[in-house]
Formats: sequence, C-alpha cells, structure tokens
Amino acid sequence: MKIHTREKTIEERIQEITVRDLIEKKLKLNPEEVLVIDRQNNRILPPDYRLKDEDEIEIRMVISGG
Amino acid sequence: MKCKICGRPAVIKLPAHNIALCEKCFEEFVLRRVKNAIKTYKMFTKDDKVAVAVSGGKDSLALWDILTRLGYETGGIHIHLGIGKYSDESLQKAENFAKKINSELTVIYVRDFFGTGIPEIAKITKRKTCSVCGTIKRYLMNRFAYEKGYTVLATGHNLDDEASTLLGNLLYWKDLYLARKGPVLPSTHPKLIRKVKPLVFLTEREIAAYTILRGIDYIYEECPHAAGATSIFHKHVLNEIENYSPGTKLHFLKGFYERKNIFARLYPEETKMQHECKECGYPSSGEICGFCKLRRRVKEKLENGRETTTA
Repeated sequence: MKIHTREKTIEERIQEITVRDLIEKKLKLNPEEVLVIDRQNNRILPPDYRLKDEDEIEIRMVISGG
Repeated sequence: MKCKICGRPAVIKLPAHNIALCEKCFEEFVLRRVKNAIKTYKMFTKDDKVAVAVSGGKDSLALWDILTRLGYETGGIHIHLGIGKYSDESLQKAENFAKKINSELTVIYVRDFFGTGIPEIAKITKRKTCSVCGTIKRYLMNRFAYEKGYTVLATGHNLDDEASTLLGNLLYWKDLYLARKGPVLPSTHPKLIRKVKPLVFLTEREIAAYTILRGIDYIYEECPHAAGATSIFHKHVLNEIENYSPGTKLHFLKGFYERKNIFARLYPEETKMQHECKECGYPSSGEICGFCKLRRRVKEKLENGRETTTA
C-alpha cells in the first residue's frame, strides 16, 4: 500500500486492515488529528473501511498552528 | 458504518456528537453548526456586509464558502505577509478560490507598509515572529475592512484554536487575555470593526473534512514560523483528552463563554479605545498605535542600514 503524508510517501506491504487500526495501532496517531483519504477518488475513508495492499491513501494532518 | 440521519454509507464519525454521517448530511451538519454559532452569539445578520479574513488555509476558505452558501454578502481580505514561497502560494490559493466563487478579494502587501516582510520585521524589532505578525494582521484587517465599507470582520478561528488559546491563558492565568476572549469582539470605536468567529463550534478535523468534500484547494503547508508553537502542543494535549472523553473541547470552550464575564469584570475599561492614532487616525490605546510604532522602528532601521551601506 502507498501512504502519502505531508513530508513523504512510503510503500508498505500490509495485510487487510481497517482505517481505525491503521491510524491508532499501526501509525499511533490520534484519530482526532487526521483524516484518511483515498487518493484514487479523493474521498474520505470511514474508520471501519478495510484497506487492501493495492490501495493508495493519504494521511492528512488537520492540526495547524499560528 | 451508516449515516445516522439517512442510513446511507457514512464517511465520517463524530464521537463528540455520537454520530456518523454521509457526505451530504455532514455538509448540512457543518452549515447548521455555523448558522447556530452566528445566531447564538448574535454575530451578524443578512443586512451586514461581511469581510472574511482569508489566509488561503483550510479554515478561512471553508468559512468563506460556508458564509456564501448561507446567503451572506461577503468579500475576502488577504494579507501577503512576505514569508517567501509560503506567502506566494497562500495568495494563489486565496485568489483561485475568490475566482471560483466569483467574489471580491482585496489583497494587501505588508511590504507596501514596511518595505519588507514579516521575518525581517521580527528580526529588526527583536520581537517574536508570531507576535509581530499578529499585530500587523489585526491592524491591516481592521483598516481595510473599514475602508472597504464592510460592517463585520469574520475570521476562521475554530474550536481547536479557541480551546487551545483558552488552555494556554488559563495555565498562566492571563486575566487580561481571558477578559478579551470571545466569539464576538464588539466594536468600541467607529473605526473599529466588530470581529466574529463563526467556526467556533467546529473542530479542525471537521473543517478539513468539509474542505475535502467541497473540493476546496487550500494551502496544506504549515507557516515555517509555526513549527514548535506552544499552541500546537496545547492542541495535542486537548486532543488526547478529547480522544479519551469525546466532547470535552466543546464543553470546555462553551463553558468559558458562559462564564467569561468573571474575567471581563476585572477590566471594565480595558476594551475601550480612547484615542485615535496621531499618525494613521485609527483607534489606539495611546497617542501612537502599535502598528505605527512598529513602522517607525522598521523605517529607521532600514534607512540607517541603507546609509551605512552607501557610506
């Protein structure tokens, strides 16, 4: 699966995983601070969506300063 | 996961409200939250001409989009801060959006007033970049909103912004800031425009989701001077609490608004601007306003610098 973040793009082989588990368990992010977007159609993915290895997603950080 | 309102597939879960919503119902939810904030705090009416402070970021562009959809008469004001590529890209996003919604955008360049941009001004005056930037933005936004005939100035401050500054002010018991803080800053002088924050009931996550669903192209890059800001740390702390106990941020901020008079009572005369600046004619607490003082210092330094170089 290809994962885009603000800083970089990483490619990782994954077993099927829900958006919720990817954020909280794998990436250890606070779900209040991110959105997961399907890069193919620019849609927000809900927490129970099951991601597959061929998916390309963006982890959009939503917290800004200033 | 199904939408709690219509039963279609949901795209977002909102634990603070104990609901999941589909795209359409989420958009309606956002519009309702803003409508509700405007009504609850009597921010403005359909008779007002609303200036939207547009940075090119998600909050200000979402705000402009929402107010336009709700049928308010709006126009944007953008300040080009002179922070390199970041400022140029921010302006581009603001201009593109103004074109998209066919609305007027007033662009003001900091360098037209100071001869240079924010980073250099901060260096010359030995002040923190964010503090200088705040002083300049507040002044220019008010002045141009007034000169352009707007009756109210709306900013994109959201629930996370407001709750995190509240936390910071409480941690250090900044009574004066607490006295001034609120969703509406009333006009206390004919040349001081009323300021309002219609996004106070929406989190950053909700606003970001709205911009994605609406296809709003905003500047995703963070201001290079915001890195390591205490306000971001306070946001993380509050989000930890929010994740553990959904709804806390909203409860915290609303509770403060209900009790804010406790602090306002400590400074009954504070919010009154008694003078007009002798240089620019805009409201000031002293004879010369903070903006003009800053301009003088920068002008002197830049002129001295030029003399030294040419000598």
